Amino acid sequence: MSEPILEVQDLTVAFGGAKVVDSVSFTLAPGETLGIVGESGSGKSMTALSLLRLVPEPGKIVSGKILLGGQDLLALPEKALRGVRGGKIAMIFQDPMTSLNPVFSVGEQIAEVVRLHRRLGRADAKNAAIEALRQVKIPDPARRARQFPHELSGGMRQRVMIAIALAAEPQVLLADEPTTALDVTVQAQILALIRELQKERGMAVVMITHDLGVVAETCDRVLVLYGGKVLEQASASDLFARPVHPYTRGLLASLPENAVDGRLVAIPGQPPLRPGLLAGCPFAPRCERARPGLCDTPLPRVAVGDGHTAFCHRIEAPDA
Amino acid sequence: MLEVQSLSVYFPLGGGRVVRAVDGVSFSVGRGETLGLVGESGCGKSTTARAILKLIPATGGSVRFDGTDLLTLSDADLRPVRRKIQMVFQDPYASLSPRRSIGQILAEPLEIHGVGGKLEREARVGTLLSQVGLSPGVATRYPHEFSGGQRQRIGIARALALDPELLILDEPVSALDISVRAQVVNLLADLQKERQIGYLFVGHDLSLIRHVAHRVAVMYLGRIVELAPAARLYSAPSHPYTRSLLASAPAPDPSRRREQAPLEGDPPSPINLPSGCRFRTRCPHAREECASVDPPLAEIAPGHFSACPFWQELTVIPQPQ
Repeated sequence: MSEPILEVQDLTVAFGGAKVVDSVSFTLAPGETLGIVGESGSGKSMTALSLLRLVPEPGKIVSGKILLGGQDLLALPEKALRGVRGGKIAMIFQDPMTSLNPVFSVGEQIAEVVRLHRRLGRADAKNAAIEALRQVKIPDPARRARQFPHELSGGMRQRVMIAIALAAEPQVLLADEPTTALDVTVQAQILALIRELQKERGMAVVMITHDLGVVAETCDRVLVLYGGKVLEQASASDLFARPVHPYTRGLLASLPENAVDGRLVAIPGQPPLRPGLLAGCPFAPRCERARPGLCDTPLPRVAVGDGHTAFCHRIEAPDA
Repeated sequence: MLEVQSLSVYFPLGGGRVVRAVDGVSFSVGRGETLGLVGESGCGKSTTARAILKLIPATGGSVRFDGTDLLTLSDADLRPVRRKIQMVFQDPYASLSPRRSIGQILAEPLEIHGVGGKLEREARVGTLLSQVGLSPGVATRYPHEFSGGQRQRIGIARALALDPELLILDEPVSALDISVRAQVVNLLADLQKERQIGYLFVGHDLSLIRHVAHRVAVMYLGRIVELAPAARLYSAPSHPYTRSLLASAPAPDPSRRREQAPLEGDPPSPINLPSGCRFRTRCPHAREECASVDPPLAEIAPGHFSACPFWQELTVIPQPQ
């Protein structure tokens, strides 16, 4: 495998005493898609925001390293981050309507990024914006560039967001639930578009989602997050074929596709309302295999296969 | 039990323009039956659900419940019928008043319909909470103290307060975490089995609808384009839109990835509807006739209705199982 473009080591984000992201580590190779899957309170969006050092107050990144091309972003002065945010690492969000500015045309919004990161003049930036719209397959891009966000459909707006994100030619694209607000037929179009642009540019993608269908459709490798902690990490094919962590197994079993005798297999209980307070396994309160006195201690890392790791006291490593 | 005939809901825009949000929709829901109503945003599925309860005024058509047309009833005559039909909303955060205790929220429908005295109502609240898997002791607490899944249970308890015969479920689990969704779906299934309640289940998640529904109606731009028993709709979809919809949903299986999106473009605006078949502007099989003829729903097999007159000639798109 090639040198990772992004390497995150033991990243911990705390809000007061609550570690909402707790010792999260992963690597990302150029051209690779890593899925970060989790439910509400899992810390998936906070992980993405910390990669850009955008954790909202009073949250703080309390420890860890974020190495982009070998350089630790957490050690950079604030000013130097400008070239990273929206430059080397770009982000797209769930709701394109709230992330686009309603009073500027979409062309102006793309041109702004181009001028900032590629140091082009106004006329060149305008042309680059039209070209960017063409690349995200918006028909009649010169006309669309003059339109405002409210004049576009949801799918069209997400294409504009992608055009803005890609305008600075980033090495890493963070996609936070990029299709959750879209209809299935449009979702399929946007996922295909991200995949195609990624192939063309060799860009790495971090796909943050709660949707296991989207994970299966797009990701090479997957990180399963729950209550701020990584519980399982595997290739997408391993994760779906051989999930080992009781949470991952429960999640897959609860899908309608896996109903037993016409009944869904539910996980009892609910995700923690205030995550990040448990020293041990955050899933233990809902886990039928949990053992008191064992599962409330720090989680061991268990290698269960090639590139397949689980963090669980109740799983044993297979014999070598 | 519920018989919706040619239901239309138009919204005037001024200047003589109208949005035909629901445009001649007909279906029925039987006792103990779940009818799934699916489609993408703007197709009119939620408007249909609301028009049945007269939360939005209908422009035309009829909504018969046990033979009585609700749309022509006076408010006074509607009230006794209205208690038999209840609704559960998508957003468990927005649909419960933050200033009222769970006990007050659940007792409200009983008070409105004058059911029982104060003590009887309190007892009833306790029963309702146990029926949805919550402790009767939570009656004194407030909505903010509960998680999304628990709030949706409270929303279901409120809908059950008056012993309804029909529940209109508008995306009832879409806002819930996956690990909690299954619990609420199972709860709904149990309640239906116990009480033979009919469900109109509005949703967009095709694999979930397949699981919960006995029959499924697919809507596109204000019309039902296909209606069939669930097993048949998923194994032998006839309408090109149904096929595209099924093929677009990503399967939780990395070995079934697709390279290309099955359907291009966005749905057209409901203000400027295409002539003829409304799906023709995105339909991979559209031909000249499709622009001139507005195809009606026709029965192509027992209980299976399709609005595509050319369904037999279409090449088969392989369907995920």
